[in-house]
Amino acid sequence: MTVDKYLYQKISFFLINFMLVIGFTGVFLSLSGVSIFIEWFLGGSSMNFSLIFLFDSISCFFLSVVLCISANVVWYSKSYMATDPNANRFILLVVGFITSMAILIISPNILSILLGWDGLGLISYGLVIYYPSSKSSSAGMITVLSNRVGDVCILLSIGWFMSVGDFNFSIWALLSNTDFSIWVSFLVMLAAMTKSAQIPFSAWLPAAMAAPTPVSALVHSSTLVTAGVYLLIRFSFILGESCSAFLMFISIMTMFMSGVVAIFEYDFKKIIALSTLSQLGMMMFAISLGLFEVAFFHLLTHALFKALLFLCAGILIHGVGNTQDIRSFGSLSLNFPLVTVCMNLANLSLCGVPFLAGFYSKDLIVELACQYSWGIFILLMMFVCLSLTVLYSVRLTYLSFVSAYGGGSLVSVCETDYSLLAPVVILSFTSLMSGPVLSWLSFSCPTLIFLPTFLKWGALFFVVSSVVIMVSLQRLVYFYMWGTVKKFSGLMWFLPWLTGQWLTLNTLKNADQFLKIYDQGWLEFYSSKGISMGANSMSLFSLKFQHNSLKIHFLVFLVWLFMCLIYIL
Amino acid sequence: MWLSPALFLMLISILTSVCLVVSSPSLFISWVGLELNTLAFMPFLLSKKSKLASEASIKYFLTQTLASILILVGGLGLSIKLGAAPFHSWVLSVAEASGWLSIFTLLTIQKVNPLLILWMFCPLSMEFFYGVVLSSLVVGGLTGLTQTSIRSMLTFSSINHVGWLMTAISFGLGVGVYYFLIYLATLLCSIIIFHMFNVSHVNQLSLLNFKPSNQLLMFFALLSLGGLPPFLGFLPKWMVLQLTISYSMLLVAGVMVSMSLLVLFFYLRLMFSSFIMGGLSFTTFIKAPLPLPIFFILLFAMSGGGLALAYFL
Repeated sequence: MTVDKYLYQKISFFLINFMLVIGFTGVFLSLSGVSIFIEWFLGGSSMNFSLIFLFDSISCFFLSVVLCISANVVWYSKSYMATDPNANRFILLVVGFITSMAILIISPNILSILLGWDGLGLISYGLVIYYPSSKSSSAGMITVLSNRVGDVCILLSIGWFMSVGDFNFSIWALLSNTDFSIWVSFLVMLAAMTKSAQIPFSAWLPAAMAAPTPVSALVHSSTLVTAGVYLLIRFSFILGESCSAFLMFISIMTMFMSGVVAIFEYDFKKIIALSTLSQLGMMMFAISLGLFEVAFFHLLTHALFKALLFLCAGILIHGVGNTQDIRSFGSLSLNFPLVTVCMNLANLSLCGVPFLAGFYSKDLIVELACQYSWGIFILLMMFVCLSLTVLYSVRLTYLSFVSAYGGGSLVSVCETDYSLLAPVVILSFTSLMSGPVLSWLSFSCPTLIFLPTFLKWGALFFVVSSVVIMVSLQRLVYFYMWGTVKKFSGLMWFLPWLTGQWLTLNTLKNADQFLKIYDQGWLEFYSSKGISMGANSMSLFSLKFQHNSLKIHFLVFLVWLFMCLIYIL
Repeated sequence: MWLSPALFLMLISILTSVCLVVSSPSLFISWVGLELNTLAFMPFLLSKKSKLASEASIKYFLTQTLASILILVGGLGLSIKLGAAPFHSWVLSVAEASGWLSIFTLLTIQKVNPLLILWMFCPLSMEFFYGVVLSSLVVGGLTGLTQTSIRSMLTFSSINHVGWLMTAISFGLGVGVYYFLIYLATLLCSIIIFHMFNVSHVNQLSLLNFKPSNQLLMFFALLSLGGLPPFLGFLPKWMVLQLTISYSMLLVAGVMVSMSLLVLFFYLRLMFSSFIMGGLSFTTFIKAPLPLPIFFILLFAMSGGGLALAYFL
């Protein structure tokens, strides 16, 4: 029970108002080309410390999208978490999360970005371990430790910024002869890769689906994972040639891997998580091509329809009795007509069907990528990943809405709860309209695409053919009998095991040896124990002259006297 | 004990000897003062009236006489009189056998005369002087590590302090007197505590049932003697150290600092047994607060008076 009956509605209303203010500010700023810096300045003569907030069109648009999604998610979670006894903790964590994200978005210097970044990592840990089960606990541990690696990279780059002089990277974007080395680019890129779950660090995103569904909608689809992309967009001046090449490879492989794994996956939320991962790879791909504004545009539209997808998934999961296995879904379009419509909108938008939101952003990236000359491998992989996206989306739609019902018989499968449906409807409106609206706002004139015919038709061809392939494959039973491929994909190409158990096992074995042999062994002998034994032995040596006999005292005196006389003479 | 008229006469004689040494223009009268000092101290050693005490007093007498002869011959006897290493072996034997007042006098007032003669007439050559100082510091620090009797620990710490004192007096009278006076005060605090509770051995400290506040005061007195800031005992050491470094005698400075660490260590070890094992039974504490003058002296050991003293010196 919450403290106030209308708490969720109040928070949601506040967020919507805030979003409208920021949204109109963003439109004004983008049309007039102005950026607003708000600065609080502390100190005077020797110490100068300032807290700066940057409001330019990028940050205002991103902030308004985040606030829109969070307003809808909070309204949705009013009824989703109504039966949960810890709902107070939930809403506190969500509000803290939104605050951290806001701090991250509006900060132009790396110290306050670190504040938001660390806050995001920590609060997402608190949200992932929300349910008290061992699965949630291990998922939370993977999440927070992967995010910690990114935190360390940002801390190291803070050290670098201290040597350059100013923490505000918006200043350095304007200068052309700054002193940044290749290491800062790599560190920032590595931090973005951990947050956005690219290939070495991609184990945490599917595992983090142990969180409640509103959390997945807010955190793991639109805000936390896009923080890495946003960081790279802000640091666009720093990414050089070699970093871009590395990032391109990593993002292509992430897209490919997540697409392949999603085809064989049976957990509903994990499929959506892997599709998020694939789209993140697409955004990183765009960044590595140098298309920062297009990547940002894709970030915004993707946030909106992915949040919509998660919310619909939540309604469906609630409907079939809280199971997430898609084998127990099926024929749900008969009972959830509105959710079916919205989810189809989201899925088609994800696939890049013409004139929905995803088409504007994703297709733009594809066509602009075809104009660069990076080689046949990159192009081919990009188109393959496009078709993989369509494949798993169609599979998802087919298995939830079209195929025969596979669940239990005593469930209440209906959609009458308006506070669950209204956010879904609102988000579907935005995902319909955000594509064209944001493209008119972000790009002052349409981009010129100049391509040969087969490349221009390439995207559409791959999409349509993948739809046909998957629909026909669903009718064939023995598609599911590829045992080895399923195992390989199901364990996510063994990446979580490699970066998790294998790594820690070997490291702990070595660490144990170090502890027993060096730290508690020879190092003790040479440093502390050795010194104390040496001091004791010297003390015992000097006690040998200390006998309680006067003769010996006088003998010692006379010996020394003799030696001094010899020395003097 | 010290109120008996005979011992009071001896105390006056000791003070007279100090005055003689200070105010004499020639070495011979100072030597007479040294002899008077030796003779007047003997009854203090004999005040305990045991066989051990008479043995100690004979050792003291013979050592000091030999030292006086050696002063006339060369400067060696001064180091013997001070109890500086490598001529320190007699101090332990004498200290083990005396009562607390005797040991206090032995370790402090008996050092005044040799130090004054050292300052006034400077008979020691530089290498010899450094040798004596360094070996005093090292012997005092190292040998004290394996001692278990509190008197021996105090002896070796005083040997260490003799090294500091000789360095101080070589920089000038003001520094030396300052160091000496503060050493006197802090040693007095510690010895008063040991005398009051009649502890002679490390084992005995844990058997006392102190209130923790009293234990803490005892701890502070010992820490002050060891030279830990912010206590009083740190100030003269700081002064001497700064002078040493500014005159670039870096080896001496290094040895001084490291050996002070060892001396402080065996004070700390002394108090550990009292903290961990002592005061176990909370009902039978020695409930009486420390008598007022002792309390005052202990507070003086903390830092206030030293600053005033430094101002005037």
